[in-house]
Amino acid sequence: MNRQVSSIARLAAAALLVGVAVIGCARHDGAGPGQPTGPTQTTQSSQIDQSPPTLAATPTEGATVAPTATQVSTASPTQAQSVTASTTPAPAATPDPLDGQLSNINDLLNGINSSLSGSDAGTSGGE
Amino acid sequence: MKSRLTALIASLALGSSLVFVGAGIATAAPATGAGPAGRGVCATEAAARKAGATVDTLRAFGDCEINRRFTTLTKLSSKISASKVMTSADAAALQSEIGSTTSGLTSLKATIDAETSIPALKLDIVKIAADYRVYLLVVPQVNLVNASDAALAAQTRFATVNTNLAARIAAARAAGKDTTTAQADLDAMNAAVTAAANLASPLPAQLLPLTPAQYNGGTAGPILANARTALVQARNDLKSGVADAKACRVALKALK
Repeated sequence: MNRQVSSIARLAAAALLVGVAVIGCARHDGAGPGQPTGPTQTTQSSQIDQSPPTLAATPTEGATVAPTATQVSTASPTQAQSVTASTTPAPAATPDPLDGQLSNINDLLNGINSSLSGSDAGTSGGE
Repeated sequence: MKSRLTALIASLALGSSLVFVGAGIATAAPATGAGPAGRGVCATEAAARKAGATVDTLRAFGDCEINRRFTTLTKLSSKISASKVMTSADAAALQSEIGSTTSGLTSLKATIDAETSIPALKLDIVKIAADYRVYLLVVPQVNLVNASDAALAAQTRFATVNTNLAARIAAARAAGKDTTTAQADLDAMNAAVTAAANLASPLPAQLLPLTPAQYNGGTAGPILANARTALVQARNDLKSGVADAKACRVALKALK
């Protein structure tokens, strides 16, 4: 029983480490305070819009949920990690087309906001 | 049971980490506020002119002010060309206006470069702003027409959303569900979109004919201001429409 609990705890720790590593990688790639100027506003909005499907379809997420109690209880720490990495991801749910349609509209709203800001005489350079 | 619970906790921890990553990507890069060539571009020339109005200092100031307008007009032209929402008629009208403004300023620059009289140069410099109104008229015209056309393009996208949600409501109704709430949300969405389109649709026709002379006469300014106010309201209506569409979907999911 103790061995089983220990394996589970190690699995949880491994999952947390993967999560922290993913955060680190993302911060490194992104435009942080000391980084060069990031992409344009249009690019950002498309990134925002694409984020939810990416998260939903990430294999790591499905693989982490997938291991059964049997797999966890019999695996050594090393094996537990390989199970996490190699388990076939659960099939991602079919994305709702409405998400894409609303995302397109949000892109248009961002464009309207940008144009409204640009139309301000105070921000347009002054005569 | 205990092992499943622990595995679930671990996956939740990983999942929440990924959510933070997603949020980081979405918010990390700040929006750049790079507008057209600003007033400060010609600060040196302006200071030299104030220190001593000679033919050279006046000419340098005039040339600088014209050049920064060229920069702005080029950016506006690129913005029009890149716009995915502007109608071809509106784009053609604005490109034509930019072309004539550029042409007029080019001619004025030649006049300034050939001028040798200080009083005449001072009058020519006044014309740079007063005869063309690049920043107070052309820049708002381009942006407001683009926003109007974007609001009208959103109406088309909402029509697709309406088709999608109406089909879901019909299916739920056919299955014997009470779709009153979902239908009310969809009706609210369509009402908001119609209101936005009604606000935006007359604007290009009001904005495009405006001239520097009308601006100088005080009639163009209120039209620009009213158009901006209408577009802020239209944008808010469209935002409400998005919220109504989401509420409709939630109401439909609750029926399952």
